[in-house]
Amino acid sequence: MKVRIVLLVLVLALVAAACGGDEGDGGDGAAVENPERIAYLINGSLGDQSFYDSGQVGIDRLEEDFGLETRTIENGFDNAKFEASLQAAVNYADLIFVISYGFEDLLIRYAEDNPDKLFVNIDTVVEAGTGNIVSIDYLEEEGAYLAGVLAASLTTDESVEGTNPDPAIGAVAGDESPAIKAFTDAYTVGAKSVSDDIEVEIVTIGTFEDSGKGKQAALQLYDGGADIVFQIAAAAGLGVLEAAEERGLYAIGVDSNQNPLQPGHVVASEIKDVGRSIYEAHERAIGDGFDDSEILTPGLEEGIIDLTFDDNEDVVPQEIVDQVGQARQGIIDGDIAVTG
Amino acid sequence: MITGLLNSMLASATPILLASLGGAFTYHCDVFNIAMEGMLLAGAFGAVAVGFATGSWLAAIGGGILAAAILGFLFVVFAVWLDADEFVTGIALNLLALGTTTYLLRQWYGVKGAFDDPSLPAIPDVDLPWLEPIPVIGPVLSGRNLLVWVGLFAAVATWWVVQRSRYGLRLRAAGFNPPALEASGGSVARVRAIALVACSVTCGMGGAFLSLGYLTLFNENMSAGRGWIALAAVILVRGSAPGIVAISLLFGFADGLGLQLQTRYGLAPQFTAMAPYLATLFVLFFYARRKLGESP
Amino acid sequence: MRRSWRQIVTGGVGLIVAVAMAGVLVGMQGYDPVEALTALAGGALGGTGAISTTLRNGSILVLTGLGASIAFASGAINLGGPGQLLFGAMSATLVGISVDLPAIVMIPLLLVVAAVAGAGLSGFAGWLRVRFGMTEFISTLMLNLIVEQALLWVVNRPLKEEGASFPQTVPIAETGELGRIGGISTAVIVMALVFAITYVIYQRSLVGYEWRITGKNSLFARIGGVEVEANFMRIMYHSGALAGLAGGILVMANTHRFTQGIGANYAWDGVMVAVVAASGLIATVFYGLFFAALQTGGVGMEVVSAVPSELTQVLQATIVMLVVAAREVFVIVLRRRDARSQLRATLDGAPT
Repeated sequence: MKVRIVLLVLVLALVAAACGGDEGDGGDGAAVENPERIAYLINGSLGDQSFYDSGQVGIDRLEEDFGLETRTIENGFDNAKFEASLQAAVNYADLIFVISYGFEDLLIRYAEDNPDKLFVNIDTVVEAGTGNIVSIDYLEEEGAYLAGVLAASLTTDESVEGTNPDPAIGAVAGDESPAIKAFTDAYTVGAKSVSDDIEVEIVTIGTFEDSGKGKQAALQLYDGGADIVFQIAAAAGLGVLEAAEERGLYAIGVDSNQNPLQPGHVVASEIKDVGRSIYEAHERAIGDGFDDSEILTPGLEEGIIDLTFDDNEDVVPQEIVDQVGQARQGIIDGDIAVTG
Repeated sequence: MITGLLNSMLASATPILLASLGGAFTYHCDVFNIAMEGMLLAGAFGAVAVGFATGSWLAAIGGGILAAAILGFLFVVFAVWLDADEFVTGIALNLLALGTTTYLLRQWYGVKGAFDDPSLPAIPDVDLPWLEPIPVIGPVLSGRNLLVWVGLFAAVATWWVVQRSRYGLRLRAAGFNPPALEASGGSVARVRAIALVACSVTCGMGGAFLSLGYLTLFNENMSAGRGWIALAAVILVRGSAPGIVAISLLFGFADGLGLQLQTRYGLAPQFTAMAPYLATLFVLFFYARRKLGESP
Repeated sequence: MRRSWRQIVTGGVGLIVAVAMAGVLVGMQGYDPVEALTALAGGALGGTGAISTTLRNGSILVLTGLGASIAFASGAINLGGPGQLLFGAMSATLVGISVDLPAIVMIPLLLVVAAVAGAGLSGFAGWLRVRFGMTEFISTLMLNLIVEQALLWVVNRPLKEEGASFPQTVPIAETGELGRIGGISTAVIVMALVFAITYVIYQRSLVGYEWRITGKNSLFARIGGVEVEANFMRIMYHSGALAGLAGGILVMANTHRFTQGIGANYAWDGVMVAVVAASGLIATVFYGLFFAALQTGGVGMEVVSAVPSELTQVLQATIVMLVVAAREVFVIVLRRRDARSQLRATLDGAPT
């Protein structure tokens, strides 16, 4: 009986293989002649409703506007996959957008071995002199500073529903890596710029995936007196937004507009328009081109980093919105240093 | 602060409590069930899938149980009927649960990573207004999720079934002395299959608590190792229901305390994250010492 | 001899079924199975770079798999691979960034350090059991999580490279790197050497016999004069050393430094390899390389034929299930055949 099942499976497979063979003949197969293929190689997974997804928007636009073939390669935080992914990306595409946290050495090696490909390294800086790596280093700390200004103003404003007089604000961070620390530092500096009395409590949950943990951490912050919590933990941060809704308090989203996710409770979102920067990088790659090891630093001024109040059901009083607007102008004009 | 800590303790203890109560059944009949991690995950997904389709939280809990039961059924087929190694089967089922839920998330809902829809029904909280005036106890006990209470009730039920019922006797016989059970006309395979069904039911509810009780969303690999902790808990207290309650609560407490220590005392997050695991190791230490002390 | 022949045949049956099933699964989802499977093979074995990646990841997987196999076959439930691997990786890194010796000294030194570190951590869990009766199943699981966090602290705070955009240490001295010969990672040489040593100890020596006997029947072993506790410690040391070595090789052949998340899933995949191989040593090598090829090639398949990455995950789980099922079915068939021939032999030999 069991043997028969196994045989059946085998036969099915052969049939499927035979049918598939016919379709396969029509495909193009020749990879080299295709002039424009793009790979988007990310260390995590799509579906975070923030960073990675935002980049995907740019990739999709490129596909639509230029008729490019694109592939997104997800590593799902599995570091063992990274080299195979890089290899596959190089075999497939001419222009590779890559988030290379922790794999800078590998990226440099592959860039050396593939001088005819262009690598756009997103969110970190790689300077190797290989002639074909460009880095986009977002000034996300500018947005985080604004988030700090907003949080500090909101928690001390008595007109906002549900807030307590405690001048406490919180942040839930995924880990302690430099990219995340840049956020928490600027958030703190921004908050202190409003008032020195503001207490900033930061909880690091050690995961970007476990949204239960994110919620637990946020609930503790709210119960400890914080009225508003900034989430910096990708998908795990979705739990922070739920906690805000449950307590009737407030949260700040990250990397894309998360305000509609918990209407009336996500008062603003720090935006990092990875998609637009990818789109613009492609424009330059086919236009003027880049200098070797060029580092692009898009921020508030370029409109790629911002703090958006869209769709927040107007819970933030206008004078706070104005205050944040002033801080934004101050940063763009160079009058405010976000790193304190 | 105490209230917050106790609330946080109950929330993080509940999925572990539910899963390990089911694990107690399999423990007693000598099935090494390492598929609980996968069952929790399948339960969380099943609940969201059915909840999204029907809009009913009750049906959603059923969906969670059903999804966990599919894994339980596969476990029975492989480990009990085919007599494959339980360890292999469990590991494979965990992989299968992770792969399939992630795959279906994309196929059915066209999303990756997390599925978060406003129409998802939340499993309700139970408000006990008459308790609320009592300090500490009131705010801790009132407003807890329905499944928290189900978990505590299941603990009592598990204790009774395992220790007092006829099935419990057979269950323990299947673990302690299978030939004797067979000789007396019982079927070891059947007893074990029923234990796996029981385990699927509690794991399915544990999963439903994760996705629709504590949160209202599903995200990839949502169980995040809780099934393993549950397995450790079961083995640690040798399947005793009161022991499972105690260890789950302790684990939940340490988990919440860890986060508090970060903000209160500025401890490095890596050290606070160790708290529940260190606590487990200490319990193991004292438990083992006591056991050594008992034997001559 | 007969047993290993059976291992190969049952394994082979499992593999054929697995590949066939992969084709069906991919085909059912509307992708071209031939194209997908060709891309899978191409991603794993097409070109020196791909082969090198497969072999290097395979070497690590084989070592973690052997660590688990040895332990399981000897009755020790050492699930501490993840922690032992990380500990080995960090120890090798620590020595690698603090001393700079000629390669001929440096490479063996780092390998030994990694092995000793892994063995030390595993031995600690063993000691907890022997001294206090703390079951190694739980202690190794908890130690994994504790060690992981402790090492995260190390790489985020004291040993973090100045100015790096990711939590990582500075690179180890270049003399400690396991390079490539003819484009192929030399990690595979280390793996082969370690496998040979392990095989000899386990299959050909008295010590190994005692381990195997302990795994099969500890009461029998005790009566037979085997010192069960000392044996248990030796098994834990050896198994931990293998996981530690895997971590060392990871640093020396791949990242050249300790980074956050370096352990990936190597150790758990090693456990999977061990269970699929039914703790057979040769089968562990075989399946370790096979799964490495599957994982490396999986990415190639996703990119060439647009098969989603989740499907690769489902595929891997299905393969594990099918290999196990095929093996069990095959064992049942063989057992029946044996029984039949035995019956016939009895009948033939019976006095008429």
